[in-house]
Amino acid sequence: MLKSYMILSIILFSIGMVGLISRRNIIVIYMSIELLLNAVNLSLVAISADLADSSAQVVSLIIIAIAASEAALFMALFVVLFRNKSSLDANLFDILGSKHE
Amino acid sequence: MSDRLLLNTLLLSPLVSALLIFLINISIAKTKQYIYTFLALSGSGISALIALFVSYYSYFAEKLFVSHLFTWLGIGDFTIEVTLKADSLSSFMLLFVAPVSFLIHIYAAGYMNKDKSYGRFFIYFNLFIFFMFLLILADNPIIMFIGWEGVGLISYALIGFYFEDIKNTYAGNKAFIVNRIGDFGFLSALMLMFIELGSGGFSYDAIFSHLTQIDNEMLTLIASLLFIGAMGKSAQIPLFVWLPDAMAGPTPVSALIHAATMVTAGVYMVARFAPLYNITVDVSLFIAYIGAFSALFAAIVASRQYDIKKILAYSTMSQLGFMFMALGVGAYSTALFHMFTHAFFKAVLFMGAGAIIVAFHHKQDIRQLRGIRYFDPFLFIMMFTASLTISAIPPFSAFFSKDAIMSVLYSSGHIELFFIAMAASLLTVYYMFRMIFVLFFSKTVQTGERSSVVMIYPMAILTLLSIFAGVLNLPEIFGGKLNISTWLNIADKDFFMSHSGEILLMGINTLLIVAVIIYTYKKYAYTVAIDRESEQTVVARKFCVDEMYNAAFVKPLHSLSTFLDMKISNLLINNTINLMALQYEKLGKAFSYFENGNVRFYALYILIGCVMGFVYLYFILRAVL
Amino acid sequence: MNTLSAIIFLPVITGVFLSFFRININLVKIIYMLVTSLVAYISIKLYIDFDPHSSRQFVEFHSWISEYGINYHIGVDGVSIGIVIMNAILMPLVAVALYKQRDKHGYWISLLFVQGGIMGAALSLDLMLFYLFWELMLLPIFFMIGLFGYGRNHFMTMKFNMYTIFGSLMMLISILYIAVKYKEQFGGYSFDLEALKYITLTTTQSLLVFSGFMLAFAIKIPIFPFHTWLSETYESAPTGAVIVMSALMAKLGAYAIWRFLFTLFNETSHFLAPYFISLGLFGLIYFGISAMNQTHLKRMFALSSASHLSLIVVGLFIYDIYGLIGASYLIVAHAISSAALFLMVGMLYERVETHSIKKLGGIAKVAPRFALFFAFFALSIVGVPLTAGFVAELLIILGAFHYNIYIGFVAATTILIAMLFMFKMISQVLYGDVNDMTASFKDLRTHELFALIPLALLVVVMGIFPDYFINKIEPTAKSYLSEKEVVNHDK
Repeated sequence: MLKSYMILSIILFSIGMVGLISRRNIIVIYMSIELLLNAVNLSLVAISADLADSSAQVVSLIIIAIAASEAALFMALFVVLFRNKSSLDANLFDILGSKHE
Repeated sequence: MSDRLLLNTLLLSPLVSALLIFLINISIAKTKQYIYTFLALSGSGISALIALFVSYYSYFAEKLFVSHLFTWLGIGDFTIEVTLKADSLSSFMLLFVAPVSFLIHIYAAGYMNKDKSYGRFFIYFNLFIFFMFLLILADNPIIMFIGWEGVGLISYALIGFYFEDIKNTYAGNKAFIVNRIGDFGFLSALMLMFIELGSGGFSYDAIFSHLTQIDNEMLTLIASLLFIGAMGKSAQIPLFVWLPDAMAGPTPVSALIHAATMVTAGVYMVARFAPLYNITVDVSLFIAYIGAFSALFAAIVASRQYDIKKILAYSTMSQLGFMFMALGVGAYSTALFHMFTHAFFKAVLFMGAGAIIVAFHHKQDIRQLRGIRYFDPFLFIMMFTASLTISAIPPFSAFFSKDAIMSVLYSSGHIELFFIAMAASLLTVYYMFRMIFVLFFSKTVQTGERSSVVMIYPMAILTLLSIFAGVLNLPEIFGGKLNISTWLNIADKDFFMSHSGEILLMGINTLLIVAVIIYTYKKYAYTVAIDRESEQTVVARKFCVDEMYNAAFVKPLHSLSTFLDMKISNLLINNTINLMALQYEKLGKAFSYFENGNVRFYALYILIGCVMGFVYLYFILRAVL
Repeated sequence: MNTLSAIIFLPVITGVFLSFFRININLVKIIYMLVTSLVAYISIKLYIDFDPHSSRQFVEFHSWISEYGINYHIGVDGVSIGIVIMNAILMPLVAVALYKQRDKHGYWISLLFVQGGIMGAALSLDLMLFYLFWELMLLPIFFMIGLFGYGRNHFMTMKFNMYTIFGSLMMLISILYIAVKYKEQFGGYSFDLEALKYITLTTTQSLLVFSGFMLAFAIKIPIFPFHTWLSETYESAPTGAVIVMSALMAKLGAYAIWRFLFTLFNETSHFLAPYFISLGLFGLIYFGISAMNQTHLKRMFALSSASHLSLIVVGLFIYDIYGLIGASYLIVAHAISSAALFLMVGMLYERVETHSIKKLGGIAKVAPRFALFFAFFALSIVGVPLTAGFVAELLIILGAFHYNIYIGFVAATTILIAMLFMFKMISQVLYGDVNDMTASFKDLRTHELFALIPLALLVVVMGIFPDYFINKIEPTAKSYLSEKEVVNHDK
């Protein structure tokens, strides 16, 4: 049983990773980050159930809380970034890169 | 009076007076000229008096004056003491150097009258005689070398004295540079000597007592290197090129330095190292030949010069050649005696030239100075007398000294030297009287200002000396006892010549000299022959020696310098290093593509890093578990 | 407080203090004068009290990072005393001569740091401490050239610093390496000079470590072919920086050879000595000839410095008593002469805004005092008798002849090299007629005279009475020579 939960978790994690790297829209990147966090949550809960230890669940709850605050932060970020460039394309925000020296 | 006090005062009084003049010069703007005169003359006068005193006692009482000052340098075996010693050779040198210097000081006070750098002149002048005394009185070669270089330094300052014309400073540079090339040889010789002999102390006595410990090859090397120093200082071939240019300085400078003192330092040095040169006969012979060629070369060039001081400069070189010829065959006292008489008559000649130059507002070409006999007859008499002296006509002093050299050369077994000397001697008569006749025996008449008493009186004294000084070293033929030679007590070689031979030689000599005088008179007196001489002949252009040196040494050095700086330093090394730096920059640029500011790429890098980390961990754990 | 720590930290602490508090520039200059004069006074007393016969004096030892064997170990002996006294004397004189110009705080603060750094580097007997001060003296120069220099100063300060730090990095690697070796052989870490003497290294290891150290020193001095930073850096640097670089930092490189290489790597030094002697002699002649055609005053003096420094290196590697003493004497003599010359170049620039020899001329006519001092110091570099340079060159030439006759002849050419460029330069700058640029050349002012007279006197005194100074160095030099057979034997 655990194995299947873990495989699901890994699949979710990889989807999240790939989405983080390959998508250009910032909102989609954020969604991928949420996916990553939730995949980890899933695996934590599965392990907790398997080991009959509830400390993993505690960690999972903390992660949910942090994800929520992170969401707030991201919303603010979207607004500011959109104001700057009128677009949410991640490729456009590269001022810190070497092309502009 | 103690030895120490005498010698120290002799050495230090010119130094002290130079310092005082210097301090007054830089602090007070307008000082009266007579203060400077007083200081300068007292500085050299005191030395002159003491010098006479010392040589008197050295001669009559055979007294040796020693004064130890302090240890200059003491490292292990290499201990150099500053000790002044007046043995017979040094006292002899003092005997003529100090009084002649003093008389020229008096003359200079008149010559430089109202010059705006009067004070500066006498600072240098007194410093010069300080160094000269240091050279003469040192009892070890290193201190002598300090004096040796010191006189070179001051002569640089004095030759370039009128520095507003930059050419004069170039002449000074040339003098110092050529002198220093000689000093390179001298220093190397001293160092070699020390390496071979060091542990027994380094004064002259110590050196000469251990001289036989060195093997012959090394001795030859040392002797030749020492002579290179003399070549530079005494303007022999090939290091003579500075002497004619040195005439750019004021005439008292030429009189003192280039007639009586500095150029004779080389002769003094060879005489001082007589024990060494007696062993290395090859080098001595080499010295004699250099002297011979220098004498002849200078005489030839002088016969086509038109500047009054240049004629005298080449004449000095020629007379020095005579001295070196005598030194080379081992007749040290004869050479020194000629140096003695030369100081007097050459000083008179230079001083007279200076008087003429000042009187005619610095014209120096003899073709423009014709017919000056009547404006100052006394001057004429003195110049004429000095010329007779240099021609070695009896009974003037140079007759005794030069004829002694001729006899020595004749009986030395190197007859070719004798003939070269003969030729040079006759040429001497020719060019001297060419000058005299053009200047004084001419149809046109000029007048100028008469020289002041201050300038004339020292000349008069020196003229008298140049007439009568021969008496001090009369050879046996004339009933004398070779006083100076016995006093000097140097290791002369013995020369044998029968009395009749000598008299025959002298007779022929004198006849030839008179013949040359008559020929020259016919050619130059009251004629315009001098104006017809071309200035473009090889001889008149001094055999293009300066141009040759320039092409052979100076220009290549400059090209080498540019080459080294531009090509090697810049192109080769600098660019190599810049290239390496450039590679870094390129590498950096290449890496910068990884850093494009795009957050997705950074996420990718994080992923890659984590994956690699996990893989590594997996392998580690697999190994452990 | 111990004298040595005082002279190291007084300038550094004052520098720190001045950088934090923004006070009036004139007050800064006064504080600078006071501090450096105090340091000078202490150092002169140190010099007079220095008893040459014991090996190291005024030693001070505090443990610092003792787990790694890094301690605050400083001391002075006959070798370092020369650099200490030069450092102490030159700094206040720089201020005296230049104080009318240079109204930037950073200039004087940097000079204070440099002085402290050089003192520390000259006095430290612990390798890590030495490295610390070695780097410390470099950074203020970076700022000085970059902020207050001329010409391509940004480029040159980067180049100079990169180059030097690269060398120092190699030295750091070598230091760490031998510390590790020491741990292997003796159990604990130690960076102390006395302790590290006793490690044994194989020949290859010894050579590598030696080259690490030597690279740093060769770049600093500089030795051919690591000299390409030299002329342009001197050209771009402000006067104070040039004086420090030429008179002090370069000599520190030579001193460091003596202090570290000869103590730690005795055998390798002997083995490699012929190469370095030849390199030094080559550099001597090469730099002298390159200087001939220079038209920029500072470049010419830079190359002349390099030439004499190569001679110092030759003297060191000859490694007999004459060479060692001659080299340390030349260190002091050349420091004074070159500092004075660069000072005068600075004064000259202030008056005519040019460094080009071709554009100058006739200064002796309008400014005789300036001309006198300029000619005097130029001649003291040439090595005229009665100046300190003559004694030093004499000793080195003697040592060279002692070593090998041919080396001796080449070394003796040093008396010919300097005059190649000096005399023409003196003639063109000082003599001849004035042109419009030099017509209004003002003569030396009083404060400038105050700076130059002590230097001139020192040169003359060292030339006439060398024995007093040599007696201070001689026992130390002898002790180095007798230690020849004690240390590292290679496997």
